[in-house]
Parts: sequence; structure tokens; C-alpha cells
Amino acid sequence: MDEYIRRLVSEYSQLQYFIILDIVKKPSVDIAEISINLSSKDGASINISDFVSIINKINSDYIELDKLDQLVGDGDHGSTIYKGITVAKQLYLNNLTSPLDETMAIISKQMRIEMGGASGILMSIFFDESGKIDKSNLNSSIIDIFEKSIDKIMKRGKVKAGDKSILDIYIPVLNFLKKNSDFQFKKNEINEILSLSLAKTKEMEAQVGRAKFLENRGLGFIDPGAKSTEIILREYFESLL
Amino acid sequence: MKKIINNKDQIVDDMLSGYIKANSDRVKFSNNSKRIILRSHPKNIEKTAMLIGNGSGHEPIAMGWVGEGLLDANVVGDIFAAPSGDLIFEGIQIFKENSGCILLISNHAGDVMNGEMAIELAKECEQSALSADERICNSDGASFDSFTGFKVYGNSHGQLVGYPSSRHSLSCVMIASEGDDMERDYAYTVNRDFSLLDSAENVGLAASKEVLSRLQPQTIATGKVPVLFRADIANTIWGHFIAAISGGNLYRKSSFLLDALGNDIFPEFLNISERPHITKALASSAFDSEGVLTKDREIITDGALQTYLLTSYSARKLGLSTTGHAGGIHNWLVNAKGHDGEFDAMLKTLGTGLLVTELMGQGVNVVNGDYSRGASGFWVENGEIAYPVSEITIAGNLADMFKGIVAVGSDVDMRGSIRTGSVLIDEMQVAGH
Repeated sequence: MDEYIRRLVSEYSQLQYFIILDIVKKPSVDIAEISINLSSKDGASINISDFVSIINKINSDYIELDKLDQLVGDGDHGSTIYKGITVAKQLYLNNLTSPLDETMAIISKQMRIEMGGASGILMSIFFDESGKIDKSNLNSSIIDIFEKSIDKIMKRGKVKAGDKSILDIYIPVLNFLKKNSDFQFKKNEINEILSLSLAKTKEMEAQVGRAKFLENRGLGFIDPGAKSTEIILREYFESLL
Repeated sequence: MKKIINNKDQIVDDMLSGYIKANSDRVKFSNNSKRIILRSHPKNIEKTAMLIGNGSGHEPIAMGWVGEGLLDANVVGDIFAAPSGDLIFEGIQIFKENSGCILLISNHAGDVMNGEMAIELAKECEQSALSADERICNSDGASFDSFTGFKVYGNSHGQLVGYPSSRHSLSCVMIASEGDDMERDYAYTVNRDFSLLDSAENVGLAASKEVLSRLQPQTIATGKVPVLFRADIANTIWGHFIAAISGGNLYRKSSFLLDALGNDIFPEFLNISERPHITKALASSAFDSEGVLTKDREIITDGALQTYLLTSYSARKLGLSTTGHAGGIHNWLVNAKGHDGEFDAMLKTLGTGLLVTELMGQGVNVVNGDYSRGASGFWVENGEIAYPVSEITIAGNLADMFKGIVAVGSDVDMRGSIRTGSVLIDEMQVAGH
């Protein structure tokens, strides 16, 4: 049983991708079917090999994220986000037949419960909003997702741009999306913005969270939450555009 | 050596169960969650409750403060991480019947955000019910129940089997008044998966909607009319059928369905299947309460009775073998192909008659099938709900009622062991004024 579960976790590691990919959901896909789709590298229905999943990335990066968090926080951000993403994946599997927005609302709530803390409540917001994507109106719905997420994060976290938080990733991305009506052809530029925005958090003095107490001793370190958000958004656009 | 860790992912849960065990005279887990610690001697109901949510890793803070004379509860998060607002809200819910509640929040970013969220959720829950309409004058309380456990069955034949199980529910009772009239009604959500429960807000709204629709009821004239049992009470009809084909009533010769195997009990379009192994269904089980394997069964096929419901004792009495029904049935699916429709369509089929939404009293005699119960609901004219009715009695004989089923809706209520839509019966005696 243990071996089976371990295999499932690794085989479904791409699943986070489905959340984003699967804008129009198949009416019923069972676990066996997904397993076939995932294991066939040529990808009969969905070309999995094109996609590096958020969870895979978080899986390989979470120790690094923990280390990052040891510098400016309490050293568990990687483990926390890994826990949240793993739950997201399981719930996604359990709710394949429900509409995407409902599924994502469920996922967001459970991520919040599993992760706890400031990161749970703030990072789950984007997952909830991202369920509202509209394929027929892709560009404006993506902008809407970012605008609503940012608004909710600002209100809930009492945080603003430049405070050294996850917002310092979301906001530059939104600005780019708004300025470029053809952003779906500019994945590379979005990736550059992600890297650049992340690097910029090094120069910021944290105004919120535990890192705030470090004052200027936090200078020179990137924000761990911004780092995981950068990973999530990179994978998000990788799958979407 | 400083500490022993079994499994990194379990350290908080392990630590908490150890703490509870060591201090059981002072603290206990809440029934709802192993992340909510309560004092073991409940506080005086007049005392305002005090609780705190905080991350773990600073023990004995804050669970050490729980006990007589200080805190009433501690909602515990992971190491250095605030518990989510949803969990703190669950903690607040425990004290909702009491004299208010003070939530203490540590001044960390995560604690503040999640604490604020919990307060919003608690206000939302009450407000959504209270503010829906000014005629809503009070709440008669709301309750949240959560159960997780492991069922094990063993017997002297060497059988030892078990499975884990869970069940969560949230319900809310609302009171509304208009003029001299005061009504009360409720709504609930139940699921084996906590994340699939309906929101507190929706349950509050549903209860409000129910109670408002009942205000200023009338009675109706005595006579024979078609009757539609709404999906959430239609299971009572099937419940009487279950009693009539249960082994205990059969071997005592106290059922109106003796020797009925193979007989046409329902109209030809009606089928009832039993599916004991549906994931997350509320009456799923691998074996019955005598350890007998459950399996898919057809109960009614084309209106005809296919099986009785027997335990090993009643089966022996009848010279038959058990059907694995000790402890009840396992997920019935009621199907009336070609004679179904959504709720609105069922109202249209009803035309002019009675929609029953609540039943009172126990006037059902399984020996001869006589049925007579107090009821309330709505009078329906030309497929539209006209006005609420109460203080009436509906009567008939179960055998006739079963045969008289005209349609079973596709508005299936999934919240029970019998998944049925609303049930329309061609004619019943209604006693009003």
C-alpha cells in the first residue's frame, strides 16, 4: 500500500498542471485513465512531457525554499507549500467531475487549512481565483484573476507593493499583462519579469510578517513567499500560454 | 538526547495526544477536531468563553493556559504557523450557544489574518441567517458535528475486519415571525468529506428561506387530492417500505407485505437498486453489522419485489439466508425512468394538489399498511406553489400509495441512505377544516 501511494504521488506529480490546463473539464476521467495519460510520454490526449508541474518543481525546490526561509523566517516555508500543493493535487483528483471553479474553491479552502499561517491564507487566494478562468475570454479573465487576487491579498494581509511579500511578484506580472494585449505570445518576457521581480525583493526591507523584525538585516535575501509564488506563476504561464 | 520524533509530518498531532493523555484531568480534545483543545470540565454556560488560536512549537504556551480559571479552548496550528481561520471558526462554533466569546490573537501576521478571518466567518454565519429578511427574528442555534473513527467487527468465528469512516454535518434552525404567526424551520448539510460540506452561509440562507416560506399558513378543505412528497422527506415513504420487507416484521407476521417476493408492489416504471460500495456515500459499508459481506442488489425491478431484507437471525426464522441487512440498508438508488423530472416539472405534473414538506407523528401501521400522519407544506395550483398549509392530516394505505406512485423526481436528495427525488402519489385523503 505504501509503495502504491508513493508511486501515485510521483506519477501524479504533474497533476497540478491539470488544474490549470483543464479549462474545459472532461465529464469523467478516472484515476486509471489519468495514470495512462501521465505515463505515456508521447501523451495521447495531453502532452505531459511539455509541462513541468508546479508540484514537481515545489517537490524539488522545497528544501531550497526551507533554507531560504531559515535566513529570514522560521525555516519551513518550503515544507508548508509542499504540504498545500500535495493536498491540492489529491483534492483535484477527487473532484474531477465538478466544475473547475467549484473544485478550485474546495482546493483553496483545504490548502488554507493544511498550510495554516500567513502563507496558507494568502497563497490560497490565487488558487481560488484561478478557477474562474474563462477560455472564451482568456486574456481578460487572466487579468481579472490577477486583479482580484491582488486586491484580496492586500486586504487580508494589510500589505502593499514594496513590502517584500508575494505581492511583489503578482503586481509586476499584472502590470505587464495589462500593458500587453498580446501577452500570450510573450511567455519569455513574463518569465523575465518573474525573475527580475524576485531579485528585486532582495533590495527590500520587509514591512510585514516575521521577517519585518530583521529590519535591514534581511537586505540581500529574497523573500521565500515571493520565491514560491514565482515558481507557481512560472508553471502557471508555462501551461497556459 | 533532546527529543524523539516518530514522523516529521505527525509531530504536532503526536505531541498533542501525548499532552492530552498526560493532562486528562485538565484538558481534552474537542469532538470535532484533534487540533482544538478544551478544558475537560466544561465551563459554566454563563461565563463568556475565551479561546486562543496559535501555532505550536512554544509549548506549554498556549495549551497550558487551558483549564479552570483561564482559557476554555486552544486551537492549535502547525509548528510556528497559525491555525487557519476555518479551524478557529470551528473553535468559536463550540461556544455559540454560550454567553459570547472572546478570541485572543497573538500578534503575528498569520495569527492576525486567520483570527480576523475566523471572526468574519462567525459573523457571516449569524448574519446570513439573521439579515436575510426582517421577518427572521432569531436563530434557534446552529450545530456542527464531526466524526472520524475506525469501525472494527470481530466474532468468535475468527472474523476480524474493519474500515475507517468519517461524517461531518452542519445545521441551522431559524425562527421567523409575521403578525401573530411564528414559524421555525431548519436546513443542514452532511458529507463524509469535510471539504464538500456546504458553506455555513448557504445553510443559514437555506434555513431562512425555508422558514420564511412557511409564514402565514392556511388549512385546506378535506378531500382527496394528489400529494407530492418533497425529496427531503420522500425517504420516509421508502422507510415504511423497508420496515415492511424487513425480516423481523416478516417472521413475526406483522407486515402487510408477507409472501410478497416477486409481486408487483410498485408501478412498472419503478426500480430500486442497492449499491453498498459507493465512495463517500452515507450508507456505504463493506459488511453489515454482523460482518456479512454486502453486495450490489436489486430491491425492486420493474415494480416487483426482488428480495427481503434479512439478518442472520430473521433469515433462520424464515428458513432463508441472510441478505446482509443487519443494521440497515446500504445506499438505495430510486429510479423511475420516463416518469421523473426536476422539482418544477414535478409540480407541473402534480397540477393542483398538496406538496408535503414536513411530517409529524407516527401514524403508520406496518401490519395492515394504514397510513395517517400530520403534515404541513404548500398548496399547489396549476403547477405553481400558491400558499403554505399546516395543521392537516394525510391518510391512505401504504399498499395503495406504493401502487399509486405517478412519478419520482430527478431532484435527488443525496444527504441520506436513500437517494430519492420527490415522490408524487396520485391520490390521498387530506383532512383539513
